[in-house]
Amino acid sequence: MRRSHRTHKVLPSQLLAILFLSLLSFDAFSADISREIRAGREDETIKFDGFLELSFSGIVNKMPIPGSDELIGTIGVGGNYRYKRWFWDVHAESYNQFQIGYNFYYGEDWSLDVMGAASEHGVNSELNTELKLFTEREAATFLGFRATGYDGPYILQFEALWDYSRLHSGSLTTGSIARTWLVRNWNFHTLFSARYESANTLDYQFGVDASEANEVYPEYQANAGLTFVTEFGVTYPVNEFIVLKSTARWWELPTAVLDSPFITNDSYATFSTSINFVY
Amino acid sequence: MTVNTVKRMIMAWFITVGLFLVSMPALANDPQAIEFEVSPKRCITLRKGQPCYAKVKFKWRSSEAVSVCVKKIDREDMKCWTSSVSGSLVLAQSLGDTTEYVLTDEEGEVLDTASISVLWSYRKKRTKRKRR
Repeated sequence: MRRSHRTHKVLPSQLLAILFLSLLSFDAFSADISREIRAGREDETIKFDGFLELSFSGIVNKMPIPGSDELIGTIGVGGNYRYKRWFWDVHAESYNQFQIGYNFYYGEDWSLDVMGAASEHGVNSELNTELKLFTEREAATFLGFRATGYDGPYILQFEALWDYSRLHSGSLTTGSIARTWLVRNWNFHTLFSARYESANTLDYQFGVDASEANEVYPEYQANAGLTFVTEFGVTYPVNEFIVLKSTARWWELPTAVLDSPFITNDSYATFSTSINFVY
Repeated sequence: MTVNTVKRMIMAWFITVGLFLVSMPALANDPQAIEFEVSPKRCITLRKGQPCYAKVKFKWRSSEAVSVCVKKIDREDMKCWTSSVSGSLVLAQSLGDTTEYVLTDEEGEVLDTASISVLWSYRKKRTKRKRR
């Protein structure tokens, strides 16, 4: 009853899959700030610009989920293109895996966008081989806006999204700050994000309905809460087409989901390193 | 082919070879005989607008002793040599964009040039006009 906003019955194992998705956000909350600290700010004076990126990653994760693989290898495809003020963004490592939108203002210091985004997008079976049967998952479609500020080596970003697809009718509100350092041609960065998720959003990921509950996954309802991510990364351009990346992240999940049967701890770390081919 | 044609061809060959031999001493004194090169030829940054760091090796040699200087175009001399036939120099450089270096003589006349291109990995298109 309390998760009546769901349009279909979700099995506990599928819920676990969603949880994996929510934790498998190797870049921080906002794709753009994660991308911009590496690829840089777009040059809006160029009418059509962008890039495609093929990545081969090795990941060490300490997710607080029983059965999750600690060593993972992934192949990802991402890209970012803009035509005039319209943009299209697929970031293989980001929380919002797909974003499309329109930039309605850009200036020296600020850029404002309206956008649609897809977040949950299906189980990555490479994360946990037990989840290979659950590789299809209806994605929530979000609509919202984003403001990005630039001040020297700092990037600030605020993003507010609502579930337009009514899959869970939840919302996400994210604030991020990042800083970059250039040491010779090594690009170091740190990023801190705080994301507020509504009760519906978190419950969709961490809750268990009475109808779904069993001995392993008892009934549980999550409340709204804040997730914090701290990230350190380094990026090195080998040549025009090859980029090396390495990223370490520390996650603090909301205390509101601490008692979820899907997790054993509210904090965890991930470390990823990848070779990326950029075109 | 007539006999006259063959004679004209032989004469033309002798004239060409003769002119080449006459020009040899002049080439030896020609400033163009000086070779100047830099390495690497390209420097890679992650994105457009970043300064690119490179340890640049400058190398020159001449067929006769000369006094020359190496510098960035329109900048101060980085190093000068007096009455030398060759020279090399390694300097750490932070390049904002494609950079041209010149080898000049004592009077500041440019003897030769060499450049390093700055390229980047993300969004490879170059700006056609300045950001507003």
